[in-house]
Amino acid sequence: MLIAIIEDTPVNLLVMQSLVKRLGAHDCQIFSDAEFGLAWCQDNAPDLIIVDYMMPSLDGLEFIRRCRSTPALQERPILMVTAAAERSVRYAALEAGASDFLTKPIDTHEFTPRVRNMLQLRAAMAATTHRADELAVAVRQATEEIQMRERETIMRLARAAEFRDPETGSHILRMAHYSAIIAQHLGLPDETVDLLLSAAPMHDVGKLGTPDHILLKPGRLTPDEMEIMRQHASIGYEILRNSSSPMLQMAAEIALSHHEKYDGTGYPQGKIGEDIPLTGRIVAVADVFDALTSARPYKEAWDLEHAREHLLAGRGTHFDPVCVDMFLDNWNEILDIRSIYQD
Amino acid sequence: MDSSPSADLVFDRKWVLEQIGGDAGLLHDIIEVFLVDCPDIRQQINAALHAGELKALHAAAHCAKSAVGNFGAPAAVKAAIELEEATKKGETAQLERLTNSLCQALIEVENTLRLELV
Repeated sequence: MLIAIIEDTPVNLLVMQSLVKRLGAHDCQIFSDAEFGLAWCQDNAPDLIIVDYMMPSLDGLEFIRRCRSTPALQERPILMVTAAAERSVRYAALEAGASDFLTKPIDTHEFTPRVRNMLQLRAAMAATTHRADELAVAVRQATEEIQMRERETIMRLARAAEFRDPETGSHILRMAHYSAIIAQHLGLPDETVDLLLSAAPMHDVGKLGTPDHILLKPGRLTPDEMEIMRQHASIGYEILRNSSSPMLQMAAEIALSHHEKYDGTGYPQGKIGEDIPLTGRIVAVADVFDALTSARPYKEAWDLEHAREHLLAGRGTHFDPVCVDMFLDNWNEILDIRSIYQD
Repeated sequence: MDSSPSADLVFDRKWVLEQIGGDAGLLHDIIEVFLVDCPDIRQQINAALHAGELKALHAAAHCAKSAVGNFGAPAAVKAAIELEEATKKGETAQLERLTNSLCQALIEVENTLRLELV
C-alpha cells in the first residue's frame, strides 16, 4: 500500500513514519510541506493519507477539501492528526471529508490499529472496485456475444430469403452499407447507424412467404401476381414484429415501409412523405439503386450514370429528396462499397 | 495503561516508550531530531514576538506544543498552551512573559533529553 504522511513537525513525522513501517511492507512517503504533499497525493492517489491539522502553508481542513475535490482521492481514506481537545476542529474535519482522527502526541496504541483499519478498509474498497470492474467487463463481453449471435442469426435469416430470390448475398450487404452511409450523413447517432446496418438486410425477408411460381417467374407478373408479390412487405413485418430486440423492431419497420414512395403511391400502406419511417425512406434509395445496378437473369445491370439519373428523377416523388442528396453527395463512399462487395 | 505522562518529570521516559511501542532506537532517533528542531522553534517564537506577529507566534507555540508533547514534558506543553491561548485572545501584555516561560521550559527539555544521548 502507498501511504502519504503530511506533517510539518519533524519529530511527529519521524514517529509516524516509524510506526507505519512496523505495519508491513508499505511504501511510505513523507512531506513536511503541505502544498507539495497535496500535489504529490493528487498525482499518485495513495491508499492512505495522514495529514496534520495545523500547518503553515495549508491547514489540514483545506488539504482534505482539496483532496476530496480531486476525483482520484474522493474515496481514499484520510486520517487527520489533531490534539484531543480540538473538538471543533474534528467536527470541521468530518465535514471536510476526514475518514478518522489520530491524536497528538502520537500514541502507538491508537495510531497502529487506526492506520491498520484504514488500510484494511482501503484494501476492501479496492477489491470491491476490482470485482465490479471484472463484472462490468464480463457483462459487456456477454452482451457483445449475444448481440453478435443475434446479428449472425438475423443475417442468416436474411440470406435464407435471398436464396429464394434471384438477388445475391452481396446485394444485402451493399444495400445495408449504402443505407448506413445515408444514415450517417443524415447525422443519425452511431448506435442507430449500427442498428440500420444490421436491420436493413432483412428488408425482403417476407419473400419467404411468396410462392415460388411468382417469386421465380421469369416474365412479367400479372396484376394478381403482382399483388401477391407485394405482400412480402407485410409478411416480412409479420415475421419480424413484436420483438424486444431494437434491431428486429427496426427490421420490422423497414420490411413494412421500404416499398412506400414519398408521394404516397407506394405500398402496402400508401404513406406519404415523412409519415413513412425514416429507415424505410433510407432503405428505399439504397435498395433500388443496388437493384438497378445489379444484373439479374431477366435484365442487364444499369450503368452507374443511368442509375444516378433514376434516383434524381425520383427525388421527391419515389424517394425522400434528402436521402437521395445524402446518397449522391457521398458518391465516392458508395463506389467504395460497390467495389468491396462485388457479386 | 496510564495515558498521561508524569506531572513531575521533565521527560517521562517510561511513558514515551509506551507511546512508541517500546522502541528504544526510535526514542533515540526522535530525541536527535527534536534537538535539531527545537532551537529553530524557539528562534521562530522569539522572532514572531519581536515582530508583533500574533498569528506567527500562535503557529510557533502550536508547533512547540506538538513537538515537545511527544516527550511528555508537561511544563513545556502547559507553557505552550498558555502562549497559544494568549495569542488567540490578543493578550499582548502577557506575551513576552509567556514566551520567555515557554522558551525556558523548552531549553530544560532539550537539556534533559541531551543526557539521554550520552
